Amino acid sequence: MIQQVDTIEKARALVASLRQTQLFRRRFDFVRSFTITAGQKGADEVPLPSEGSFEQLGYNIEHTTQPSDGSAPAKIRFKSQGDGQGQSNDFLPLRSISTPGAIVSGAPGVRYGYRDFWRFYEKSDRLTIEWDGTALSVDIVVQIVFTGYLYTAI
Amino acid sequence: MMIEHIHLQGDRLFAKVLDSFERRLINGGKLQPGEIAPHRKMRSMDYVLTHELGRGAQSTTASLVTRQGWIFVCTGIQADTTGPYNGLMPSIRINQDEVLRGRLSGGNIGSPAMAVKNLGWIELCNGFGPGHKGELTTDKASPELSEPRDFFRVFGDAAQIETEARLHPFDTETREITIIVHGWEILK
Repeated sequence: MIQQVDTIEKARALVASLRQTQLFRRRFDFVRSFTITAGQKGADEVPLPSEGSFEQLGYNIEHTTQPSDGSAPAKIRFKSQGDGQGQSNDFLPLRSISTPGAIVSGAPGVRYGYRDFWRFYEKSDRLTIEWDGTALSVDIVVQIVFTGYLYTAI
Repeated sequence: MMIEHIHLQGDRLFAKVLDSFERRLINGGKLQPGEIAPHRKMRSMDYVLTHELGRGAQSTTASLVTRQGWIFVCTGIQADTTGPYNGLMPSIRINQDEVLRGRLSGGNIGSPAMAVKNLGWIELCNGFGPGHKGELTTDKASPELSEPRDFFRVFGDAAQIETEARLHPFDTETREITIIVHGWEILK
């Protein structure tokens, strides 16, 4: 929509109005990592962007290698305050949604890549990732790239 | 599900979904076709079903009930199994909830095609084929990887999703099979 103004005062008023009523949307990626401890269950709160609300389009996960002996994989699930504690997804096997490989050393494994998962986190929202490493024999480091849009004031 | 348009107003995000079927779905969910839905009314969701085989059972059935008050639009499934890749992969299948048919019909969003009983048995290659989205394969190069397979199905409010899993008859391994059902939830 194009609005025409004929005076500088009206233009200023229009800009001021935009600042009050509009939000700026831009592509935004952020990376978070945490460690899943072998033999344990736990949870880590993932800091969300502090600049504004975040619309998550999906994520890409990479993790250090775990023994490829066919044993049960680590599992994670996402919980956000906005969705409520009973509104999360189920525990997902990490290797089914991530790139098995090495962050610390060695060549990455076969790339799984980006995975669609649409969620909206308001600015004040809090995201917690619960993990289950009870089947692991070694700790693994998980790195998640969250990709989406960030909404901030102009 | 395709999102046609999305925008933020105040602290609320609004999304307008595309496709006539989904508009009918939304209509069945008490929204008008084409009406934008606040973000609190839709979100991605993953449900997981687990089977333990070889511990005295050659086949098992698992089920879950989707969240009450929400319609679940399944867009893909994937599966994973513990144990070695030995060429004797187990098989799974998904059964349609018989109650679902009535619920969807009652919501005026059902169709005869949705009354299909099940997928039939599908053999896992630790999923449905690494790197071969949408088709089955026997690729042995990356047996740990399982990618989602396109699978569109709609489950009504608090509908039952039932999966069956069975070992290969010559397989002597103990296996835990995990089936991920991926999709969207829409608030009724």
